[in-house]
Amino acid sequence: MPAAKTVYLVDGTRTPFLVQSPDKQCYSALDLAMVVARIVLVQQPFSAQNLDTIVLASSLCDNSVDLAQQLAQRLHCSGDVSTLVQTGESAGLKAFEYASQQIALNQKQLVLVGAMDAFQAHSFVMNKSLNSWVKRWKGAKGIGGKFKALVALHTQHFGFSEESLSEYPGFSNYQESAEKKAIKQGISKDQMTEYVQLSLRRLQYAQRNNLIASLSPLFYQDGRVINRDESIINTEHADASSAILTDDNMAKASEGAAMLLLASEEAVNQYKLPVLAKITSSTWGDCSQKNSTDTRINDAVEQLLAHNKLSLDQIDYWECNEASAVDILTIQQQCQEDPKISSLSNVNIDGGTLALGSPPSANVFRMVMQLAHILQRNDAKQGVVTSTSSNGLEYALLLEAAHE
Amino acid sequence: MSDLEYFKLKKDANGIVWLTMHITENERHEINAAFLYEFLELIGGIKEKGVKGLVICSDKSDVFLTGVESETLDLLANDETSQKSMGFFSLGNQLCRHIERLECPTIAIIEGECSGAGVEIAMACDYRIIVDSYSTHLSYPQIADGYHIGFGGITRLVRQLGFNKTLSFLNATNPYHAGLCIETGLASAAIASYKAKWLAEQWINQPDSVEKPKRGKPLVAKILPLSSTIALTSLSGNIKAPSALALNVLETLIDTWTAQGVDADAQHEEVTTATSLISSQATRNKLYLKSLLKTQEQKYKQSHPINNGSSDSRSTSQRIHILGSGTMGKYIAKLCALHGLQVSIYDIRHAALATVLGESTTFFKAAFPRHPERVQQALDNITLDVHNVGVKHADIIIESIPEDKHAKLSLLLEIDKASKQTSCIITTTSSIPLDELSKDMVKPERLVGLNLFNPLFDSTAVELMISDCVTDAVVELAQSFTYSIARVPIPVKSVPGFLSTRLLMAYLIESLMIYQSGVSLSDIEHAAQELGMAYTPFELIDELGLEECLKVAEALADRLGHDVPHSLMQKVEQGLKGKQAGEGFYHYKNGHRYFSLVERVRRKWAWKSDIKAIQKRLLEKMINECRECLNIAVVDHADWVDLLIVSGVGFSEGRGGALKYLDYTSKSSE
Repeated sequence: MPAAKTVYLVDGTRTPFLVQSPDKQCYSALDLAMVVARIVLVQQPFSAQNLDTIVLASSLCDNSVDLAQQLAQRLHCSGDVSTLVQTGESAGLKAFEYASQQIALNQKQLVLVGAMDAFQAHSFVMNKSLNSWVKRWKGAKGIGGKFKALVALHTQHFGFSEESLSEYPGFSNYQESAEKKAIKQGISKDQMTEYVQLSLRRLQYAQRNNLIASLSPLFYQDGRVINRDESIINTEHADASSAILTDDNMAKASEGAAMLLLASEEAVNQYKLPVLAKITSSTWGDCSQKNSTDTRINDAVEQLLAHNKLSLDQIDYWECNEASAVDILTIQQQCQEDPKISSLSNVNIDGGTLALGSPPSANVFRMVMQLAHILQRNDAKQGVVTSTSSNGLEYALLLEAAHE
Repeated sequence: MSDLEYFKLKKDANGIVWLTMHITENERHEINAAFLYEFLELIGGIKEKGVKGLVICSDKSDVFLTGVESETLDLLANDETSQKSMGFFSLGNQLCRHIERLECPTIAIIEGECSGAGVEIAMACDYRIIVDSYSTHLSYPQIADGYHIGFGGITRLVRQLGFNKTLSFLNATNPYHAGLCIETGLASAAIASYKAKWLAEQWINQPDSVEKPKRGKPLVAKILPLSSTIALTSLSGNIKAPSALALNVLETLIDTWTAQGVDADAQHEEVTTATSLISSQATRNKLYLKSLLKTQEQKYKQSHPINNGSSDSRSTSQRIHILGSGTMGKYIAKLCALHGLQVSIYDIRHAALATVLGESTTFFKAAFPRHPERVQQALDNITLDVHNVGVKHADIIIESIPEDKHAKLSLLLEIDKASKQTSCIITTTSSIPLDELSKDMVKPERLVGLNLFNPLFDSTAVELMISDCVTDAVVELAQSFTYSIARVPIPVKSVPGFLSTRLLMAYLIESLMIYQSGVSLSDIEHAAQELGMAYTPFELIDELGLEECLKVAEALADRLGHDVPHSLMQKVEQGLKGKQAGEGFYHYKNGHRYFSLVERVRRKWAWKSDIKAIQKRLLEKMINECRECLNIAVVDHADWVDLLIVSGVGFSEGRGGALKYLDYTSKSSE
């Protein structure tokens, strides 16, 4: 096997993350991807024809059509571009991993990788009983048969579907384990609320000072423009429920798209591409197997640090995906030996998922891009993106600043 | 069969004759007299034999049959005795009559462009099968040029479609695609290309399987004699008002129908009207202007055999970046996207960019009715760029911010620094000389100017301003860009006001001067209208915006010593802005001009001045300005002056441009 090649993060952009709203005219998933892909490509000296691979991820969309293939067509890519769509849980992570492997191991030069989450594909989902009734109706023969089927229609068929799509995949699973964790670590609701406020403040600071990494506004047919992330935190009402995890201190699903351009060293040299960061290495872990309290941040990070012979304090900045405030507060407690992490001064410094909302698959791309920009901005060297998905899959990624 | 030049004849086992047209002389299947002779002979042969059916189709998939070959057209238009044109038209007329009277069923399979003569021949057949593809469309563009083909097809159209639908078809701005043809009854069936022949066969073998389109005398035709003008004004609202030339054709036709009734006599009479129309001065002038454009385009295409603006190389070819999404910026973006070019558009104001998406969607929907996937494709070509990132790698950078010298100067400097060195920078200035704009640039040799005359005119001829220092490579790039958005560039030297703006201002300023001397607005407007100007002067000023107008007038006054009319200054000082703001020389409500009661009365009872004298003043001023421009060699030929005064000032097409007009009026007075 040839030695793995270095993967360069060249460019990227994302749309603002939007809150789902029924009365708005919306973009479809493919259109969202198109918007960001075009913005990324217009900045490049090469055309879409030079792309080798397009990888897309989408957690919320119907995957019956090959979105990546369609995107390739609409971008006028060359005929031999290879495409892949990842769907389901942690699709974003998988897509990113696949894309970087294409360059590291598979001799590809330019890879466009992105994710988009749009809700409106199914704002209404038929529940199971209605679904089976429809099948029966279709199968019924003759007027008598149809009449029988019609009689069998009952109000209970019109109940809401149990599996609502607007929630984070694997949501209820996660909620339980997170609550357990919170009780074990002794994290109170107030602490969490405080953290959410901190995250929100950081986000607003970043927005005011234009620190949010390359955001492309969304334009609508009716002339509306959305050029910043929609605020999802309702600061006014206080949740009085007894649960430790409330709506406020959990990440909310939102919609949006992000697109990154990865390149090999040859491509960077050939087109003289400006490099944002180097993607050094990545690891996977699984917290469901072990007792998670043994590790400092998570298993994947431990492995990543060991593999690259780094210690915690050599990492300048962290981007941690926070499905809830519990995650981040646990890390804070477990990393007491590192003053920067325990004070959260280098973790999610531009606000995190809690304040921004989280399109399930596009979020990881936002984190990668934001971290690359943070490294560049602060002249720092190394940063880690880490994410724990609700089914216990852990992922850690080491980014190195490009400047020598 | 004997050697046929224009046809392939095949008779199959079932007795069906397949007549495939293949005209090798030109790409677009244009007809000439020899074609008609051969056709007529063939039809005569078919009449005698026991033929079960006749199918007419084309050997090309992108064209059925279009207009008359340009050489033949030249001959017909400049035929003093009108014997040749009479002969030509009656030949075609006879041919169509023979096709119509064939006893066997006749079918035309229309695939690709079908216009003019194509429509005439197709209408003579019993059935028309239209192939449902992007390239298939029917139109009659000759009407706008001031003539018709005269084979009796228009009368047949009226008999089949009725009066209103026919007029809509003849006047339509967009050609009719398959869906619309079926809807109006122009064609009997729309079908995929591979099935068309099979369907024709079936129709001939089983005549009962299809209903024969009826040809009757429409009811409207009986009321026609009332008034042709009423009929024309009743054209439904979605149709663009016909040009003066088209109106003339339609009026002539309606007069024929009024006199003869809509039947075979009128079909025959079309020969006479076509003969008189094609040799009229107005049509001749229009055709001359058209041929000028055509030769220019052909010259370019011959010298650039590969890069002739074909859409095949779209994604690899130029990348366009537009700065400023005003009316002009948006228009260029739409044109580029329509022709398959990748375009990004930047504006500092997000709100201005936001209008691009909605407007272009409406635009593309009108251009591709019933083809949502093409609308999608066109929209995909436009990138809204809020961070101005597209400027870095664009091949063509177009600056289209408002006409302000300092703003343009600083923006051009910025572009000069940010863009790659090989790119071509285009400015859309209408009055400021390029040398003044490029003086601080590092590479002034890559700045050219482009004037598309939008939003006033949507003409094919555009002004390409080239200063002396511009390199050939840049001119080449700019030219290929204008051709790829289907516009023909006319090279113009970089002098203040260039050519069209200078002529336009001469027209407007002179009108204002006449107004200042005490002549009423309505008289001047009336005089200009009579002259055949596309826009009356004050309408034009309101449309352009009073401030904008004054700016240009001042710019020209500084550099050329033109007058700045104080009436314009007064109006601007009063805060009147023009049509967009709702008030200029006229009042506007919802974008339409309206008159209050007092004004109406005043307009009616105002003192009438001598219209002839006003016209003479306007004409003289414009002609003098044209000659002046020609003297200092702004363009290298008088024809270009004529072309640009028609497309950029709205000078009457029928008069064929100011210099041409001078030429033939002085000849006739001698």
